[in-house]
Amino acid sequence: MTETSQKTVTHIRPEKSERIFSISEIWKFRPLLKQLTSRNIQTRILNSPITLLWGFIRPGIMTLAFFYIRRMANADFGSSVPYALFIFSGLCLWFLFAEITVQVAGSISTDASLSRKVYFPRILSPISVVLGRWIDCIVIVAAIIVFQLFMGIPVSTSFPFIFLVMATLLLLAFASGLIFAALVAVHKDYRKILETVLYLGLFLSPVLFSKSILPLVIQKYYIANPMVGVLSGMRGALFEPASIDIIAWLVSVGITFTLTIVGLIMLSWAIHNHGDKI
Amino acid sequence: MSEFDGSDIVLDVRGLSKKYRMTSSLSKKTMKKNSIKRSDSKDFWALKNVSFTVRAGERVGVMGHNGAGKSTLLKILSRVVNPTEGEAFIHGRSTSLLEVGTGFNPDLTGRQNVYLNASLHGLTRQEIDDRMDAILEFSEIGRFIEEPVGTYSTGMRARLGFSVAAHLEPDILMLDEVLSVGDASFQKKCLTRMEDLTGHGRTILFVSHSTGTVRKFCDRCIWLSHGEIVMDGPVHDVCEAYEAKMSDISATYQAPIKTDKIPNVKKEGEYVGTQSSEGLLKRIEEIETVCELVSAQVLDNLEQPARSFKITQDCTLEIIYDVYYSGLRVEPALHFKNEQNEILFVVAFTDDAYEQAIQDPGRYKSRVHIPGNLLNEGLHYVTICLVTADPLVRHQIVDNAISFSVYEVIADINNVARGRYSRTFPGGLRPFLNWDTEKTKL
Repeated sequence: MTETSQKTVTHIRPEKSERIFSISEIWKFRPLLKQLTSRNIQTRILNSPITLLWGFIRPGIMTLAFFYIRRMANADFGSSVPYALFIFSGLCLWFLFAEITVQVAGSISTDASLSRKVYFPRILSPISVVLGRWIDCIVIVAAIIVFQLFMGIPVSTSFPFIFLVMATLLLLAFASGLIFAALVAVHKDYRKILETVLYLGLFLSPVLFSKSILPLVIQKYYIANPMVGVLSGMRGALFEPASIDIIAWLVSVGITFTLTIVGLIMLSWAIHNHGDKI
Repeated sequence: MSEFDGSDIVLDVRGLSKKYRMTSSLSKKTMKKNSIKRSDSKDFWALKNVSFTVRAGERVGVMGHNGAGKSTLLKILSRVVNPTEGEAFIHGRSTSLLEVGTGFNPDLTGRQNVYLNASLHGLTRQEIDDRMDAILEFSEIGRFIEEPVGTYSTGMRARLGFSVAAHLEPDILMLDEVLSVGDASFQKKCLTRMEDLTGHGRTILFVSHSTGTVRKFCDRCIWLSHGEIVMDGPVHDVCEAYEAKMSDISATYQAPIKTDKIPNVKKEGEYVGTQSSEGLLKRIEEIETVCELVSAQVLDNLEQPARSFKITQDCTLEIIYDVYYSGLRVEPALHFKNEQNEILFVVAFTDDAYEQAIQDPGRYKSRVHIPGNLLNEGLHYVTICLVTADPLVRHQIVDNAISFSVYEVIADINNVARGRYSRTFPGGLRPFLNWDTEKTKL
């Protein structure tokens, strides 16, 4: 027996609630977190070797469709850059957000086969999902930059802001996923509700249009949608410096942190009360 | 044992209980229609006030039937399930293995899965790197380690999973039914590895419903039933008691106390030798009770009654019976049966020394020696018959009068008839016969 293990005493007793987020536990299990993250990346690539390319192929196809519709309708969506670049960048980020949210929402039940057999902090599953997506962020940003250069638009001097924006996006997806992970633990039908919310969000967020086309009264409250600050921040950091709205981004950050705390509380409650069903 | 003395308690379980709520999923309408009250939903106690301590280096088996609470206990101690009441203290690093290869991803290679599985049990990358060669050698996976685990056989997966577990080197290793993996030689490796671990002060808690497996791997056993401890003691005693309860094993037979009048013993020589077969048969039919089994028991090589024997161990079957009439040539016969009540073989009375003596009325004791390496593993029943052999007349048949179990110990693997055969050995018998092979000319 080692010196360290002689000092370790594990006390098992009835817990009134599930302590889901413990920094010390996460730190203790960091080798597992690395392995889970690595597993998530490897299995995605093994299942679909071009999985990373889908991050911009799918938005690219949809861009063509929306671009054609917009030309047919001769509508003005308020973009100051070529519309194709505007919606391509928006769709790339939205699909990434939607995919991570869905994956985080299902991560607890996906890893239930592990958590039923071995103890580890359950929060590691959603965290590993998000950490495994950093590579997608790089590919998507690179794809948008290539597209904008192809269209003759240089990269903005505000480019470093993209790191903050992408971090906000990942945390927002994490928070939204946690909330739905908790709801799905209570009832499986919440998966359908999540899908519906994500479809609606695509049209309610400034993915296909600029917020500048909205009435001023609505614009004032529109930043309450946390994706407004993220999308405008991304466009500003890459090709539209004037569209950077620090207030909107700070609101996004605030809402994201609030949703994260709400998500952790909800998941903690759901695991304690409905853990057997997960 | 190395740095541990006998008083080192590594696991202290105090009144652990686990309650599950049995709730009905029926709608209010259905419940009302079928007159079911909401209050009918009951609490189910999977574990009730379980307390015990385990010292460093002990190999403790936890046994019980399905639903006895043994897996619940292990899950609580593994921290994957929260107890309802009570507490437990684990001193040192513990690792639980509720199934082999937990978290194995079929898309990843064996090596990648070793990293994932070992980190799941708390090992760092450096620790895994240090042990990788030993893990691979122990698992006998060979070059397949670079292939996806999805292409592995069940046995290969299990071997790889157990190899990781065997090299975690925790202070307490908790296992659930995972030691019965692989072939006989791999099981022997597992046993050697476990002995090596316990020899270094490590403790093993092993859950199983198989007495054979618990006997192989443990030296102490806790018997759980309906969530409560029934017995806690040396593995041999607990397993015997468990088998006796579960399989209705009775290593001894005692005739019921007679309330009727004992038949009169006829005069000596009344029917000796001179009668024809027809006359003898006719006479027997007239007699109410010719003979009677008094008792029977199975004895080990120390002449002590026993319910279970190692497959290599000899045992003796001793029967005591009364003969009330002379000249009927009463003799015992035994029918050995398996668990399915199929006759394995019949043992006729061949004791020449007593051929004449049993002609006389009186109480007799007959013993028959059953050599080791004859019966197969499992439960055996013995039906005892008292007969006149020629012409055949069955005076008394006591069906399944005694029963006993035969088990195999991995350590004896070179002295049993298993050879290199790894799986469950079929048939009721497993004689260890001598082979003689030589190369012949074509």
